[in-house]
Amino acid sequence: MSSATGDLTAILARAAEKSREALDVAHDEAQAWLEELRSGALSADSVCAVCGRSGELEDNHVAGRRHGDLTVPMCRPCHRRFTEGQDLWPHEWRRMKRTPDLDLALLLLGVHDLLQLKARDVPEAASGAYLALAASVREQYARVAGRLP
Amino acid sequence: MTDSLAPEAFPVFLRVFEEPVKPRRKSEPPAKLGPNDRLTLVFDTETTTDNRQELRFGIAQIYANGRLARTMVFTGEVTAKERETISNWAAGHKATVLPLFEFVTKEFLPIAVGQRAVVVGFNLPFDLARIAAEWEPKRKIAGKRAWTLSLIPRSNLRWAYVPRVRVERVHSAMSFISCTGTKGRFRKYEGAFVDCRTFVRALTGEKHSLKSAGEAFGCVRKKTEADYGGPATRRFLDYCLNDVELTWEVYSKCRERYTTFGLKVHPSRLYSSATLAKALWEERGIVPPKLTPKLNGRLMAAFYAGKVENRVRGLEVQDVRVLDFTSQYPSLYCLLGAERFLTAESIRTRTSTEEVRSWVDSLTVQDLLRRETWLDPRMWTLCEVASDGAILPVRSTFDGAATGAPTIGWNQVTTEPGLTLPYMVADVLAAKLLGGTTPRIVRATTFEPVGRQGVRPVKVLGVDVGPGDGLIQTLVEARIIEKRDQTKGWKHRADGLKTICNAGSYGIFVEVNRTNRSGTVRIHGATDEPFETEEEEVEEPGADYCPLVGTALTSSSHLLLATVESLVGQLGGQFVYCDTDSAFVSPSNLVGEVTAALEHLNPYSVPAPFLKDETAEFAPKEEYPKGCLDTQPRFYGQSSKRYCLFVRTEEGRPYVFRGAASDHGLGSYQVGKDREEWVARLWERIIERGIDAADEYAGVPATSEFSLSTPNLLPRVRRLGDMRPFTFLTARLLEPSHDPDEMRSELVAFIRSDDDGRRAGLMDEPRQRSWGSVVEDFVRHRDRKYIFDSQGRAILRHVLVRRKNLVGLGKEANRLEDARVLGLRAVGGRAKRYVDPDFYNGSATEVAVRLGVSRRTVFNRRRGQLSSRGVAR
Repeated sequence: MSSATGDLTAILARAAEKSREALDVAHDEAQAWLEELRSGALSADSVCAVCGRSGELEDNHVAGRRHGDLTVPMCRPCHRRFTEGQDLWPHEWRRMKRTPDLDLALLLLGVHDLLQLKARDVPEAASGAYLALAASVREQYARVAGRLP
Repeated sequence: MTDSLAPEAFPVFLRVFEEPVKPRRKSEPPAKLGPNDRLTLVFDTETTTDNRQELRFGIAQIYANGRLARTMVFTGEVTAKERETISNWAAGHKATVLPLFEFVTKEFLPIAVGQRAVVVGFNLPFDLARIAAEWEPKRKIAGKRAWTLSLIPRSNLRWAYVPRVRVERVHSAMSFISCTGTKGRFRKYEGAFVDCRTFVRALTGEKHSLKSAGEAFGCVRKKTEADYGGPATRRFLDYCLNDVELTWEVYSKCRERYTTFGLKVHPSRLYSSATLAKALWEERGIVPPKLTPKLNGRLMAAFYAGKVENRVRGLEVQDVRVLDFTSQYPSLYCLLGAERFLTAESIRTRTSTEEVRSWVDSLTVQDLLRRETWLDPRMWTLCEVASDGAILPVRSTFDGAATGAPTIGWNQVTTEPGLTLPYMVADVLAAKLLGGTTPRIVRATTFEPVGRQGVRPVKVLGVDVGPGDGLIQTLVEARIIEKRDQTKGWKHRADGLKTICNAGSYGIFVEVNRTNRSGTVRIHGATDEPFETEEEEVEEPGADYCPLVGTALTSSSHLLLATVESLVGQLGGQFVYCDTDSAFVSPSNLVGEVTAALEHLNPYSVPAPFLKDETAEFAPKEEYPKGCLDTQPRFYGQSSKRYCLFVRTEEGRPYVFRGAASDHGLGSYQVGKDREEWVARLWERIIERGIDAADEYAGVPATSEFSLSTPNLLPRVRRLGDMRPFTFLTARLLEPSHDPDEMRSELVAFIRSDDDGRRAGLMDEPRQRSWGSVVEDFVRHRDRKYIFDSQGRAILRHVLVRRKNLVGLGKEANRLEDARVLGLRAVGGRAKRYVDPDFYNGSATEVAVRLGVSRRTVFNRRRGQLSSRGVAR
């Protein structure tokens, strides 16, 4: 029994180490994807930025058409899901005059939504990293949004 | 060599081992965050061409998942017109333009530190210093060899906790770069900076410029040229962008090649081929067993590096062939079976005096041509030797005073009664072959491996090495097969295997590093009993330190050369010159017999010559001048490492081969663009005119190119104004002075090597040294370790070794060429010297001169508080 417990400790430690490594890898991947997203590098792709499927793609404005030029290619189902999320964005901002803070807040919100969508389409081990990154972006969004009237 | 002279008592230097009196408690390093390899920031800067070399503009690119994400241009000192040009250019390239401060705060730091991207550049320390706001010598580092760069002014409280960058330059192709001064959330990340110049050198073992690295790695982009002093035009910006893209391409190719090594060390921590070797041993799961400090000390005292000798000075030797041992240290490693010691659980010793004495007495040169002799366990014996004229290596200044740099010479050695010197048995056997008397073995200690560590299988460059296989043997044999079969990509794999085998079979086992810690240490090796001293920079052995293997390999290399010399002598030939793993012999017709005899020692199971004739590589047939009557090259040597191979043309004039003209002693001086050609033509003049060759170089200023690499140089450039670290400088050589404290050079603002006008103006400066004077010194230089007769033939000295003349020696300097121009202090001081207080007699001045230490050291030592700083005062 005691030797089995000893083995278990080592096994759990190895498992913990592996999971930490997997999380690190996933986090690095999510960060790199975010850099590709914000720089517009994904626009050059002929696959959906979220699910990676090829086929008919649409250009999606991350911050909304009125608030920025940054676009990502998305397939129709993913784009629809993203737009459904956009409907939940604060309605009052739609009538507001365009300001740098507003553009930034909406861009962060768009990035947040994209990260959440992406989290659904990556392997389970990696989705946590995308969700964690999305949560951090949401925090930054809240700060910027706090400055808006 | 001819007979020797009467014995002379010179100071004799023995390498030592430092044992800390209070061992440092090594705590487990805190877990650090690794870099995000999916993100890379590559950048390059363009600067003003004045003294200050301030930033004009730079281009940075961010690569995510291996593809370009963004391009940024950051600006420093630019005119309004240039700013407009940059904006227009940037718009066309979808690049953002930022002033330097914004680039650093909004892009560089968030990406390099916050997102843990890998920062890549070529000659990165220079570029980092261009974007720094402030810089200062690193505190707490004795000798001040490092810089701390603050990318944001420290007075800016908003950024008070932003990490700074520490750069410690080791040499032009190696710097340690990391984030420092980190607090709070940055504490766990040290940054990841990859200088491609270092990366390329670690992988190939060769120094490269960006241009040559691009060519060596088969990059698509080619290095372009620009008018560096001209305005920032679109062409200039294109040039800078091309440099950034080429750097990225070189980095990607290096990463690709590095992946095949199968090692885990991140490229930002890869400093040289030794790092590769250390990582390989770690992967293998091997830690060389430790010996007692006393044994380490005696083994270090028996350590003498490669043998370099020039037997004929200033005399032409005809019909010479160059013999070279194939991968000498890896081959000896396999021949001696060194791996059984490295993989052993421990090493035990036994006294074997009688047994080794009779073994040494019985061995002949014929026995040494059999592999079994080299595999004999008695080859791993350390002998305490009393000598009466035997030919043994001695490290000395070969001068009454010990203030100069010691060199190793094989001379007749006589030890004073009661004194013994440590030598590995291979050196004792070599002494027997070289003639003279056989040294008397007073005490012999044989080393034996005990047990075996758990060895892990590894895969290196596609080569599987199982737990039971010899690591180095398998890799060397794989290289031989790669070279034989030449399948796709063989060259890279063969070069990689060569790099890792050379580093992994010798250097790392005698690695000693000078630290920035002070403390009391016990010195082992220089004398029978250890003694204690206070050290400002304690020396620490490397992780794979095992002086037994290092000393056994070097002493065996001496024995191999002695065997060749003995065979050549038996065949009636002449042994002209040797350098570590190569021998120059004459006449050429005995080469076949010598190589065939040595072939019996070949340790490999795949066919490859053990000792090969490499004359064609030094003196290629296609390079022979038309109408030349010589069929074999001739040799002309001045001293160790200063020689050339040549032939006589139809008109009887010398033609020196480009690949066989040594520039030792001239290495750091600036010459024309084609260095090899310049040196070859210099040698031709020396052969024809001797010392008068110097006349042809009179009036040409001798200069050297440096950078402000260490804060030690700051006092020497203060008059040039405030300068950033790593700014390029020109050192103008000064006429030598009798005063040893006098500077050898003066550092002036950078002058390009092709700027003939400004260079010519240097001759009007006071004490400017001309190339004529340098050449004169080069020709006059002679080895002090031997005396030469009127015919130019070397005569052995006879060294009398006295106990009171023994001086302990620390890690030897590795930037000797730089020291020639800048002085020893600028390159981190000379090797440390340790003296045992028991043997002090006479006045402090007398002792100081004899031992090569300062008078202050002698006073302190007599008071029992020696501070033996290596820096010469």
